[in-house]
Amino acid sequence: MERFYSLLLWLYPRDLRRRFAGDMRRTFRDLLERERDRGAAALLALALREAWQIFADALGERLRRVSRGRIGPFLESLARDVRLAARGLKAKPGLTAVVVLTLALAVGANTSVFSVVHAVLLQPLPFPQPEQLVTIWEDRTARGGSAKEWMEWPVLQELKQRTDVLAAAGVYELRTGALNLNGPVSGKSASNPAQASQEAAGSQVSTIQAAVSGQVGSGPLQVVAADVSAGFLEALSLNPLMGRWFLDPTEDRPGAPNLVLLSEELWKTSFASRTDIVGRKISLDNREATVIGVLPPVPIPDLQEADLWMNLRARQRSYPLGHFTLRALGRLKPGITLQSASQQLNEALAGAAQKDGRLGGIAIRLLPLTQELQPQTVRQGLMLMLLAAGCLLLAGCANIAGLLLGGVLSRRPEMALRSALGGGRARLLRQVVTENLLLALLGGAGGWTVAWLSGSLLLELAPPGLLPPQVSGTSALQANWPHLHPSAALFALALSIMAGLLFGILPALHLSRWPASALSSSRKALARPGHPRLRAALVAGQVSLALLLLVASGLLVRSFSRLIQVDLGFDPRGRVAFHLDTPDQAQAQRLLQELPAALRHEPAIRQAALVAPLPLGGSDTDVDVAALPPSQQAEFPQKLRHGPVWYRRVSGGYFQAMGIPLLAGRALDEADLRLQRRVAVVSQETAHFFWPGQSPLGRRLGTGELTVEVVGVAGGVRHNGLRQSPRPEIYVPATMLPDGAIDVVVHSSLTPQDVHKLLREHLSELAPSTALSPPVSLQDLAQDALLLHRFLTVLTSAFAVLALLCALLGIASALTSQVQGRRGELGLRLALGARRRHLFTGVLARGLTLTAAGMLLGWALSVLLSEVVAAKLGGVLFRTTATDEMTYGLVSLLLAAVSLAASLIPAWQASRTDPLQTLRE
Amino acid sequence: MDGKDPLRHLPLTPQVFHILLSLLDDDLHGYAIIQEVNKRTGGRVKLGSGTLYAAIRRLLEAEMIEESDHRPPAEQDDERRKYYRITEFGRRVAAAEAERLAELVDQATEKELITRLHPASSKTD
Repeated sequence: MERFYSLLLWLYPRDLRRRFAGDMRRTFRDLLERERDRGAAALLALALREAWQIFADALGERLRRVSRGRIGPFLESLARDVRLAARGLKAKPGLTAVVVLTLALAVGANTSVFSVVHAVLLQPLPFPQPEQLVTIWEDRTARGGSAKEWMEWPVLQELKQRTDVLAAAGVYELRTGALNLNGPVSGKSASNPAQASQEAAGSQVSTIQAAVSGQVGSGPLQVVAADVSAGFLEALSLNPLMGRWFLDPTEDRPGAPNLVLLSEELWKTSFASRTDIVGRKISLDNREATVIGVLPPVPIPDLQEADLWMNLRARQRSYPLGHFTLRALGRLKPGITLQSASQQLNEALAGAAQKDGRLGGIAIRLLPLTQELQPQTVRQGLMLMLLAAGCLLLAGCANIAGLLLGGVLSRRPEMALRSALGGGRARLLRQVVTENLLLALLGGAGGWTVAWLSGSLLLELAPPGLLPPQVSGTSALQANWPHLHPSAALFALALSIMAGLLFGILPALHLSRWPASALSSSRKALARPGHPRLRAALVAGQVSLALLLLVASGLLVRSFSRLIQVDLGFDPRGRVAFHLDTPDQAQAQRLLQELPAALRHEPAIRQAALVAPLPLGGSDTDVDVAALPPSQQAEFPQKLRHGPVWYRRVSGGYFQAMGIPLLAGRALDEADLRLQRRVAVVSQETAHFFWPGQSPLGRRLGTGELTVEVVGVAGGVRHNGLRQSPRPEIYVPATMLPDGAIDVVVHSSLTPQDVHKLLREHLSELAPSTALSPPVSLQDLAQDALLLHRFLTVLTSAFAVLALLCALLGIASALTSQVQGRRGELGLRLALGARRRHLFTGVLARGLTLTAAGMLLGWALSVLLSEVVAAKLGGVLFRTTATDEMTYGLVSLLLAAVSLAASLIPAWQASRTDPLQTLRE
Repeated sequence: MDGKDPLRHLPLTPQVFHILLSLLDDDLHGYAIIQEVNKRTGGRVKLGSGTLYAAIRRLLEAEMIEESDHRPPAEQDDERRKYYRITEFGRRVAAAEAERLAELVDQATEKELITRLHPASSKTD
C-alpha cells in the first residue's frame, strides 16, 4: 500500500515532491500502522481517503500553477477543445452511444456496489471510539463446548473484579417473549393521557397509560423488551435523550425496583413524546415499572427491535453458572490492545478457577464489535462484489478501447491534415484526450444515473439487516438510500475519469503519432485497420474477464442451489407461528395444556403445538447438560462430559407439527405435560454426543437442578442458519418450566390471517389476557437465511451477463473492422478462385482463436485467483470448491457458443464480398 | 512580518485552525499533529496526510508556521521528520480566528440558540 501511496505522490509538481514526499510517506506509514489492527475494511477506507485527498490536492495545486498568469488563454483553449470534442462525438452517434452505454453500466455497477460497501463496511460505527468496543465470549472448547459461547454472569463478574482493562462492560439478554404494555391494569392507572398528566401534576407516582394503537387485533400492546445490566449502555457510551442509565450495583441486583428506559419510538408513538415521562410509572405485564429515561435507537441489530430496556437482574434472577443467555459487551480502556486485554482477562479467569473449580477450562475470547456487526460472509460477499464490479469495469474499458481503436480509422485523414496545418503533437494529443474525457464524463453521469435507478432494486434484493440501521443524530443512512452519499458521487466521478484515461490512452497515442506525411499516402493506406494485434489482445482480455465473472457467478449459483437443498431438519411449508404471552399464571397453565388439543379439533388444522423458543426465531437458550449414570440422581457431575445444549419446551404433537422425524422411542404427549413428567426427547446430535454408539433411551440427563429421562430421539434441526450443522438439543414438556411466553406452531392449509382469527377465538375462551403476535411464516424464516446469498448471486450474475455482452460486442466489432480492412485481399482471393465457404470459416476460426486465447488467459487467471478466493472469500461458497470442474466446463462452453454467434455476421459479410467491386475500389 | 494583517486570512478552515492550535504548545511533526488533533477533538476531526500537507504548505506560504530546527531529546528524535513551529504571526491569526468564533457564539447565545455557562473570555492568549 505504501508503494501505491508513493506512486500517488508523483501527481505533485516536482519541487513540492522533493520538499514533502519523504515526510508524507513517513506520516502515511504511521497512519497505516494505526489502522492495521482494525482490519481490512479500515485499511481500505484509509487508502481511499488518502488517495482522494492527494488526488484532489495535487490536481488543485497543478491547476493553480497552470492558471497563474495564463488562466484566460488556458480556459479559452479548453473551451475550444470541449466544443470540438462535442462536435466530434456528435458526428458518430452510434459509437458514442455504445461507448457511453457500456461505461454507464460499468460505472453504475461499481458505484452501486461501492455505495453498499461504503454504507456497510466503511462507515464508522455510530459510537464514540468504536474501535475500543468488544464483544466478550466464553471459549469452551477445552470442555467440549463451542469456541464462541454466550457469557455466564458470574464469569463476567470475576473478570470485572479481577482486571482493570475494561472501562465498562455489561450484558444484555433478549427476551424471547414480548411484554404486555398497559395490559389489564390493576390499581390506580388513569384512563386517558390527559387525566394522567393532571394527576401527575400532583404526584410523581401515578401510573400512566400508553396510547395503545396500531396492533393486530385487540388486547394489550405487545412490546419487545431487552434486559440490560448496568455498564452496558456506559460501554456503548450511548447517552439517553433524557434521564439516565441504570446504576451499579443498587439497581442491578435481584430485588431491585423495576426500572425501564423507553425507546425513542415507543416514547413518541405511545407516550406522545411527553417531556415529563421520567419518574412516571407504567404497567408492564401487570407490574409497575418506573421510567428512568428515553434512549435513542441502539444501532446493534439484535437490539434494534427493543421497545424498552429493563434492568436485567431486577426480576429476581440471579443468573447462576450454567446459564448461557447473556451477551456481553465491553469497552477497553484507552491504550489497551485487544491482545493484552484478552491475555489479562484469561490470566484473571485462570486465577479465579483455582478457587472455584467450576470456572476451569473456560477461556475468554474478545472480538471487535465491528467484526461482530459485520459478519464474515457479509464482508467477504461485499469484497467479492467489489472485485466482480472491478472486473466488469475493466472489461468495459477494454471493449471501449477496442471500439475507439476501430473508430481511429475514420479519424486518420483529419488528424493528418491538422498535423500538416501545424497542429503540434501535444495539441493533437490534448484534443483526443479531451474527447475521451468528455466521453468518460458522459458515461460517468450515465453510471451515476444507473446507480441511482438501481438503488431501489438493490434495496429490495439486499437482505434485511445488511445495511446499517439509521442512527438519529448522524446522517440518515437507510432512509436515503446510501448512494446519495456524496462520496459515492465522487467515486463515480473518479472512476469514470480513470476509465477515460484507461480506454483513451491507446487510441490517443495511436492517432497523435500520425504524421503529416501520411497525407501523401493513398486513401487505401489510410483506411487500413489499425493495430490488429492490439485489438486482438483487447478482445482476448475481455473474454478472459468475462470468463472470470462467469466462473464467479457459476460458483455462486452452484452454492446457492446446494444451499436451498439443505435439509433444515423440519418442514417449513404450510407452517405458521404466533407468539403468545400470558402474564396470568393460571391462564398460562391452562393454555399450555389445552390450546394445542383445542386447535387440533378444528377441521382445517392438521396439527398444532407449542414451542419455546421458536426454531430459526433468532434466540435460543443454552444450558449446561450432563449425562448422568443410572445411579446418580440430581448431582451435577464435574467429571462427566458435558457441554451447552439447546433446550426447547414443547407440547405434545410438536414433532408432527414441525415435520421433524422421530428416530427412536416416543414423542412427548399430552399426558407428559399434564402430569409434568420428567422426560425428554433428545436430538440425534445429543444422543451421539453423550452416548456414541449406544441407545439413549432410558438414560438420564441433568440440566442444572432438574434431571430427565430420555424417552425418544428426534432428527437434528439447523437453528443457526443453513451453513451450520445441527447442534445438540433436548426437548422437555412445556409444563416442566411453566412460563406464559411461548410460540404456537400451526400446520394447516389456511391463510395465516385465518389461523390468526381462529387462534384469537380460542384464546378468548382459554386465556383472555394473552397478547398475540402477528403471524410468522416458517417458510419466510427459512428463506431469510438465503437472502444474502441470493443477493450476491443475482448481482454477480448480472455483472457476468454484462461482461459477456461486452465480450460479444468486442469480438463482433473487432472481426467486422478486420473484415472491412481486408476487403481488398478477400476480393482478390475470391477472384483467384477461393471458395466463399473458406472465407466464411476463416473468419469464424479467427473469432474462435481469439476466444480460445482469452479463455486460456481467463483460466490461468482464475486458477491463480482461486487460491486467494478460497482463502479469503471461501465463506461465501457453500459445499463448492473454487475450482469446481463442472462450472468451468459449462462456462467455457457458453463462452465458445457466444463467440461463435458473435463471429457469424462478420463471417457472413466476408463471404458476401463482391470481388469486382473491391478490385475496382 | 508584523506589517501583515491577520484578518486577511480569516476565516480559517477548521483543519487549519486545528493545526495552529496543536502547534501552540510544542513544535510537532506531521503525524504528531494528526494525533494531537485527533486526541483533542475526541476523534471527531481526522486529518489525512493529503489534507495535512496541503494545509501545511499554505501555512508555510502565509508564514503562519515555519520549519523548526528545534529537536526533541535525541532518543525520541527521528531525523527523517520535519518539525513545524507556529510563528508570531500565526499566533495572531489563530487568536483573531478564535475571537471571531467567540463573537459568533456570543451572538448565538444572545439569540438564545444555546446557553453558555461562562461568558466568553475575549482573549485566547
